[in-house]
Amino acid sequence: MINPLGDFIVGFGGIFTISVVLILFFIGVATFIFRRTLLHMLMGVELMLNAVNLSLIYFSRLHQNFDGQILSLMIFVVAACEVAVGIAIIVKLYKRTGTIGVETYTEERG
Amino acid sequence: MENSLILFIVLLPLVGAILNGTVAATNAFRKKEIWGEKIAGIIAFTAVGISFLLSLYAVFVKMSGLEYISCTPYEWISIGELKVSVTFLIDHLSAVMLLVVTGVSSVIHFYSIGYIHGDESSVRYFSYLNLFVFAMLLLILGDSMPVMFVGWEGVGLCSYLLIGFWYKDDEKAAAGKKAFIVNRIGDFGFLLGMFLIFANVGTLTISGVNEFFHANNSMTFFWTNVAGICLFIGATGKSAQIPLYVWLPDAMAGPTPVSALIHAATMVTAGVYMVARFHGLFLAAPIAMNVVLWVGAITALFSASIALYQNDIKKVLAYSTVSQLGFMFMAAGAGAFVIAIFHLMTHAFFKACLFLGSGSVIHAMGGEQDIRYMGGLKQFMPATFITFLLATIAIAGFPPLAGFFSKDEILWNVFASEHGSKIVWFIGAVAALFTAFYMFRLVYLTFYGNFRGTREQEHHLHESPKTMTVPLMILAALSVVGGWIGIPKLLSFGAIPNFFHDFVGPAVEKFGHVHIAHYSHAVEYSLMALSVAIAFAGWYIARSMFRDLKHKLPDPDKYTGLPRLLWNKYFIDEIYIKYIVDPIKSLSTNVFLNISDKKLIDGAANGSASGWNKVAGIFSKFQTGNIQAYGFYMIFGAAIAVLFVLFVF
Repeated sequence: MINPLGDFIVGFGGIFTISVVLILFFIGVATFIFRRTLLHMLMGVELMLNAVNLSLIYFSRLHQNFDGQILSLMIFVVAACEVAVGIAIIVKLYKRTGTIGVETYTEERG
Repeated sequence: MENSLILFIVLLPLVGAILNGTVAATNAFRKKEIWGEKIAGIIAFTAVGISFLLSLYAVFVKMSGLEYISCTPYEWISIGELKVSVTFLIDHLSAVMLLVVTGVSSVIHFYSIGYIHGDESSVRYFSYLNLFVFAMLLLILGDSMPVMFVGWEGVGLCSYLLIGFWYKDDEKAAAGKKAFIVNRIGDFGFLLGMFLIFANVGTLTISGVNEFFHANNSMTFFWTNVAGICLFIGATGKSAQIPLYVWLPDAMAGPTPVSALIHAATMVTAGVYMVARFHGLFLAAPIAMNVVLWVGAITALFSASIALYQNDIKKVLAYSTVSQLGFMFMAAGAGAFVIAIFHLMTHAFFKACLFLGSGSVIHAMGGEQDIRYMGGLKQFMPATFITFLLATIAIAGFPPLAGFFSKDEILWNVFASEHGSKIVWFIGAVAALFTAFYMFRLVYLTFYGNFRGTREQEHHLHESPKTMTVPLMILAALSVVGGWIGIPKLLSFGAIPNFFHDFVGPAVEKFGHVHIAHYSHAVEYSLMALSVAIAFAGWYIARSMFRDLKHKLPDPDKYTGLPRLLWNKYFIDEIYIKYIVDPIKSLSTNVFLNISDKKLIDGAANGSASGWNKVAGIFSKFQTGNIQAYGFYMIFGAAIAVLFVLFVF
């Protein structure tokens, strides 16, 4: 039988962790795609990032080196910055148009 | 690097050109002079002068006892079998050219300082002049055909720039364009010849090409003749031979020192030099040799006959140049490359002297070039008169001046060589008669009799400054003694060695010897006497007709018959315009511009643009402006990528 998660994921712990990662990730995706406010979409993005962080930490443990953990720390920092900028933009947008509904912003139509 | 001296010879003029060119550009841009004509002239003259001294050193010290010296600064192109390295080679052939070019250039640069005095763009002038010397040196010393071609194009460019130097005058600018375009036609032939040679020999070095024919024992292949003729087409463009000579008379629109340097002494002889350089190929191509011989002979006679009736002092000299170049090609076509180069050298001396003399005359006449309005100038400008007369005697072929030895040798070689022909000899003899006649006509009309110009011009007449007369004297002296290094053994009874032949001979006779039919000495002496008699006849006729001109010269527009034909230069320009230029122009406008350019090319470009616009219109529908849709596309794409990785790999 093909293990859809890959042959390198072994044992209950592995399957559990990866399942959590995937669930978190898809919650993030769904949030990004279906919620109609910019703030929620930003939160979805954060969820996806954290899911990726979790997987990095797990694989770092699996391979017995710390590269993945260090990378995840860096991702925290970048994510924090991104949130700061993102929220600032959202606040600005709100002040300009009075709404943060995503359907208002259609300037990118081709 | 070995012999890096050669590099200095070549690059010094370029340095001068860059210096003066930069300053000329800034002067024009800032409307303020960094330096003027004086410093520009000194820089230009110094660059060429040092180059000349270094050439003397290279030829007489470095090269003594050696067959050649060379220097390879760098490899230019290296693709598979095609290897082109920038190699400068001084062998005994290019040594002569090198000395003639740098020497005459130095003299003319010096003369230019006086001539161009007072012109607002004199700095630009000197920069062009130096650039020309650089290009000419590339042409002469380059041992590979591409380098030679760069020089070949470079001198064409400088010729264009200098003919159209006073570009605000439409006529002069048009003359420059004409020279450039006609030269391009010839250059195309040169390129084709180069391709043919590379395809068949597999090398582009000139020595390699000559070696190839030597190794193959001068075997004649079909392509040899074709390549020879292609190269010769290049030579007809640059050296103003039939059918591409039409640009040279118009080129007289340029400043007179330019006419002397480029259109008499150096650039126009490049074709002769090139034929001599490829002697290995030409000796293996009998048909091409015959073409060279006949084209040279016909050009010599044709343009000499036109010169008989011209009234513009520079036009006469221009047609005379074309005719003398014809003589050189006659010699080359007869296989006498040494003599061709010898005549090239002596011609450089006396024709440069004649042109500079005419410049001095025009200067004194305040820009007047028509000899009908001159006359009696010898008492006003004795130095110009004497030098001009000496050069005239030299070109007419009176012994013991330079022209006699070279011209007589040419006629003898054409008469006796296996590649020559008696008919060509006769044509050459008639052309020589014409030469003596029109040159003395020029002298008598310009310097003898009474002054026929306006009173104002007469008042203005004066001898030119020292910067102009000293070069005249140098060149006149060379016209007198220049031939003495090539006195045929027969004439001196073997007492004086024929230095020129001994010097150049080995370089061009290495690859195949031309058989000269054996005639008794009596024949040779009588031919020599005949050519002296021809010169005297030409002089005598001109003297009896023009010495004491009492009546007014007839108005050229009233000529009929042959004079009318000659005055109008056989209507060649008109024929070219009607049957070649105009059809090409209408073809270009009607077919190439209106149909192929506007409809096909523009249509294709615009059509493809609007086509892509439509296609893009379809895809732009996906861009709804909804960010969440974009997010969906991204996830969807990523999912496909993941599935692809999981199940296909």
